[in-house]
Amino acid sequence: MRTPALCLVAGLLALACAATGLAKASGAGPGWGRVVTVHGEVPVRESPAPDALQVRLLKDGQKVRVDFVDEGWAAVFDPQEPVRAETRAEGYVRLSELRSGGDASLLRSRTSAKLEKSAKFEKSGKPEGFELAEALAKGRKKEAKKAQPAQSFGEIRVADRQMAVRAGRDKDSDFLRLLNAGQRVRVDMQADGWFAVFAPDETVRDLSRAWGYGRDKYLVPEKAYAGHPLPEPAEAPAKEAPAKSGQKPGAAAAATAAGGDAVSYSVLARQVDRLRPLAPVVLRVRLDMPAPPAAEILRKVVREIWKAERRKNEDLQVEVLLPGMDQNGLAFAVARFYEDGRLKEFWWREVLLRTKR
Amino acid sequence: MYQTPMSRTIRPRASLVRTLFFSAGILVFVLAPQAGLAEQKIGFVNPQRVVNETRLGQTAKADLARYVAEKDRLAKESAAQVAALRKEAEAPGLSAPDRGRREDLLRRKAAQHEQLLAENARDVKAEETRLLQYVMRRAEAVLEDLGKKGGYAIIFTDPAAVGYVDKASVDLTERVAHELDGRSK
Repeated sequence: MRTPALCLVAGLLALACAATGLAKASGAGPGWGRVVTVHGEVPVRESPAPDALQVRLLKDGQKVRVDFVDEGWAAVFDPQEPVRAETRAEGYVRLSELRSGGDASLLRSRTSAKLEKSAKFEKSGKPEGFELAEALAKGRKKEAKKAQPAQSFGEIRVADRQMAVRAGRDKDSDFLRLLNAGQRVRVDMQADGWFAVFAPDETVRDLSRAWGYGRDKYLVPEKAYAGHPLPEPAEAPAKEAPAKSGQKPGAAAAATAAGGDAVSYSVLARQVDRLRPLAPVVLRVRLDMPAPPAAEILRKVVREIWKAERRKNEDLQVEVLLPGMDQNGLAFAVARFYEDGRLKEFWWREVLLRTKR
Repeated sequence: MYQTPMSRTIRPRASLVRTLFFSAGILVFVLAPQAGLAEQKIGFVNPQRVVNETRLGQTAKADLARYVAEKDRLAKESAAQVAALRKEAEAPGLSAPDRGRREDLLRRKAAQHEQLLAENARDVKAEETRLLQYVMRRAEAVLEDLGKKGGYAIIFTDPAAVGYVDKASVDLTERVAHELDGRSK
């Protein structure tokens, strides 16, 4: 009896060893992205923009892992980086500068990144990375079709005055909702002087998902709008909020836009200046990460925190601290927002990282 | 209008620096060991050089430059909006009411722009003070330690208040800068 059982166990062990060996032999390493050998000197920037701060310089022959390819830029990592998370990136490089010759793989990576990006618009409660994995594993065309980027239809326009959204393309049709001057919406299907009006983050071009119809002449392109942007409808941010922490420390997680990686944070204080009602409410949070991520990632993180923590239409300023930083001292990063959630100002203080914590 | 990042540098304002370092000087005087009193050692530190010659000071300068650039970006966006509205208001062939409406819009936007510039200048000054204070507080801690260990009765930090300094024996600026660099990453 014992001999067949022992044989079975030995066989399983042999299989496991063979599988491990194969994985190593295939050079998969951590199993994500692509390791690229750099030709010449390539600047690494803190965000995917040509005018962004250069944070380091890759030398000729140096190996880096690249992933999260988007619009000609890729995030670079240590080749041994085990975790595929954009927050762990050393920075961003322009693919044309990388000149690795591994374009086919980069293309695959780009497709993967696009799919991942689109997956986040699905708005389920699952982390983005999970959605991507699920979609890829099932390989369902239907899902891939559904997961189109947010910009895939219509355009974003701004109401240049307070205006009605109605049930039909007729001013006598039922009133459905009010758009405030400066409110952003997605519009499409223009006909008879009316647009179909959608939520700005709507991904599905389907009339059943539209809020209704609005007069086209009052919905102007964003660039043409001169006034200040005003809030989205109340339900929109609430849907997107990944988690609500309230004021309990260590309670929340702000999902970044990459790899389903979540950054947990705790709310240290919510400061309201009662003597100056127009002053912003200052929310001080501490990120649960020893070192700050790249600026571009931090921007995404603070936006998620803003979405999760903002109450009603308050002007919320988010101040980010890292572990070990004085709770009442200077914040590492500060973000101010327009009322629709776009970043208005964002800056950070590297001088705080120079001090031993 | 505030200065551009290229032209702006952190210059410790005399009053602020004096306050910070005067308190440190007094502290050194009070805490100095009795032996130090007998020797009556006197030191001098140039705070401007502390900012300029330390990694901490240089990083604070870079932080301020980035902050100013962010404010400049906002100001440029606002200026572009004003220019676009001016162009619209001055476009030929507008009806009188339409022109009036656009001019009114332009006036309001121009006033907002002016307010933004004033706020930016104020914010930049405030950020400069915050960063400078941050560096100086750390330098102050170094100064205090140096004063205690070296037995200094008093350390001057205002170049204007000192007529002559024997750099070899009295000027502690380099030691403070070196120590500050040692304490930072």
